[in-house]
Amino acid sequence: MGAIRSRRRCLVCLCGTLLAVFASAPALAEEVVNYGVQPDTDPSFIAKALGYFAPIEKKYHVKVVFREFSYGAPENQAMAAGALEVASAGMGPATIAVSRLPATLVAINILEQTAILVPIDSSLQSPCGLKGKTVAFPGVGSQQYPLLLKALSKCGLNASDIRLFKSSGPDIPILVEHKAVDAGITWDPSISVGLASGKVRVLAKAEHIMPIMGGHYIGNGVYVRNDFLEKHPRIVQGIVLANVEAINYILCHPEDAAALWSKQIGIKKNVIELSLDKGISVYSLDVVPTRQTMDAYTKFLKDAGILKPNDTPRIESAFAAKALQEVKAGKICIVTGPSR
Amino acid sequence: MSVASPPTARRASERGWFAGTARVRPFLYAAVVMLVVWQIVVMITRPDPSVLPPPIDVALTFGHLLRDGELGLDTAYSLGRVLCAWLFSAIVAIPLGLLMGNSRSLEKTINPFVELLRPISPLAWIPMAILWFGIGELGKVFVVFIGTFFPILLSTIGGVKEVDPVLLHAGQVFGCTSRISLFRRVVVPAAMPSIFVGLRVAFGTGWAAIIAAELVAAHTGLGYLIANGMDILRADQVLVGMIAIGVLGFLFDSFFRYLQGRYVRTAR
Repeated sequence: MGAIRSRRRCLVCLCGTLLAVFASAPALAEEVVNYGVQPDTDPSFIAKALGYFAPIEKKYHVKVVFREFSYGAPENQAMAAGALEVASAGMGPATIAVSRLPATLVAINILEQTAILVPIDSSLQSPCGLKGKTVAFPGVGSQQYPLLLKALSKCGLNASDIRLFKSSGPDIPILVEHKAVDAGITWDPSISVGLASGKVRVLAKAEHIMPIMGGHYIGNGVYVRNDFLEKHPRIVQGIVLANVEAINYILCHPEDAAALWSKQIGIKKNVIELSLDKGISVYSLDVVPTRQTMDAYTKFLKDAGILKPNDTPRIESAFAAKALQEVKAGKICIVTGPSR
Repeated sequence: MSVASPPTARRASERGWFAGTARVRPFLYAAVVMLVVWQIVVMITRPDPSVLPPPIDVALTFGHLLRDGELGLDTAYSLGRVLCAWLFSAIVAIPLGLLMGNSRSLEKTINPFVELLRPISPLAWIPMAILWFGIGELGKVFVVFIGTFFPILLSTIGGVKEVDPVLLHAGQVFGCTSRISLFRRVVVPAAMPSIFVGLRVAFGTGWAAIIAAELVAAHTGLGYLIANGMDILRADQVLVGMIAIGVLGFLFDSFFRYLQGRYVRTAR
């Protein structure tokens, strides 16, 4: 009789334990923050490598998981499908996303990042010489396309004066190197990969075509889905802070940052150092997306026919401003690179 | 002074018009049902316009792209590429198919090549087309050529092989004494319905191939229009491209059916 009672007690205890485990399971489960990135010299890779996301992961019981995309358009499609909460992409796709999707731009984390390349022995001296030439570009939705149009318009040319060839960003330096095209406009680190080969050279840097923020072109932005922003503003703040801290690290320790990037994205360290040396990708602590900058950039995209006249990008500069304040309160080296 | 038509004549004319639209009506019903379902889905789920825009937005974009000439230009480019490749395929595949269908030894010699190359999707040829023909028109025409060649060839061979022996015998009785005259006056006309089917099918596969070719390496065409729409989150533009392809495909198929119907009646 006693044995039966004891068995019953054990069964009740077991059921109670299982019930408690199942009841607490949702509370224990980590929420995944899907963060869209591209394999480039994005500060978020440094933030991840240095554990800058760890405080928010611990405090809010979330896990920041990087989802890699080869370029911005599929990243935006993933966000449209609700598969990404946060994304980092070139300012072209980022501005398109925050104009057309329920998303908001919270920071600008890379400047420049775009250049027109030509073969090393090309006779071309400026974008004005591109008339009638074949130019490779990464698509209408990229930040490179409107910049190319701007470079042409400064010479009184337009898209119909050149022969456009759409290709993937990393393939463009190879096409230029092999003279399959006369020139190509692409993003970094593909630009630096091309320059490191010694077979291509820069015809024009973005800052010479359209200086829009601190004397540079805006390269890359961080944007967040609106429902996530409303639900988790503190997590968003933590993510922006992690990015600014990473930029501060890049500015203070460029060589170490190059080594970390090399490990994370598989591009040689010397190529990344070349990018920092030549200012192909420029990093600045001033990551605040101001209305003035964004208005100028939006007009630029509207003029290029990429945005509709009634498209208005949503920006929220408070997160970047607060993160900048916090980082500036600590030890900073310089505000804008290249620092080498 | 105008004379009003008698009511009976008008009713007959209306009935005639209604009967005349009988073939088009099922397609109109299908289009209307699709539009209604689309609108209902939009009203119930309220998706973001960059995921699924309402039909009216797509109609407005269609009108806009049509007015500024972009849709017409892209359609003309795609159509030109498909027509060019399809005609070239027909010029090569029909004579080759007629000869292969008529000669067992020739068929045995060429068939292994056909069967080895046929399963390779036209899309798989795109990288090679860029390498061999560059980024101009020739590469795209080549990809469509690959997509259109085999349906025409196989239909032609099938058409020749399936010619009724009674027709061949009748041809000989009616004076086609030489092999050439029998081939020209009996075999070729008898194989034409099958050749037409091949041409129709090939035009469809050609459309599929050109859209894929233009997604990769082009700066004009309906495939390019769709790819750009995807890049800049313009689902309305993507849908306009898709609708244009659907409508053009339907119109061309109807045209081929009409020609086929006429030809078959004449042959009878």
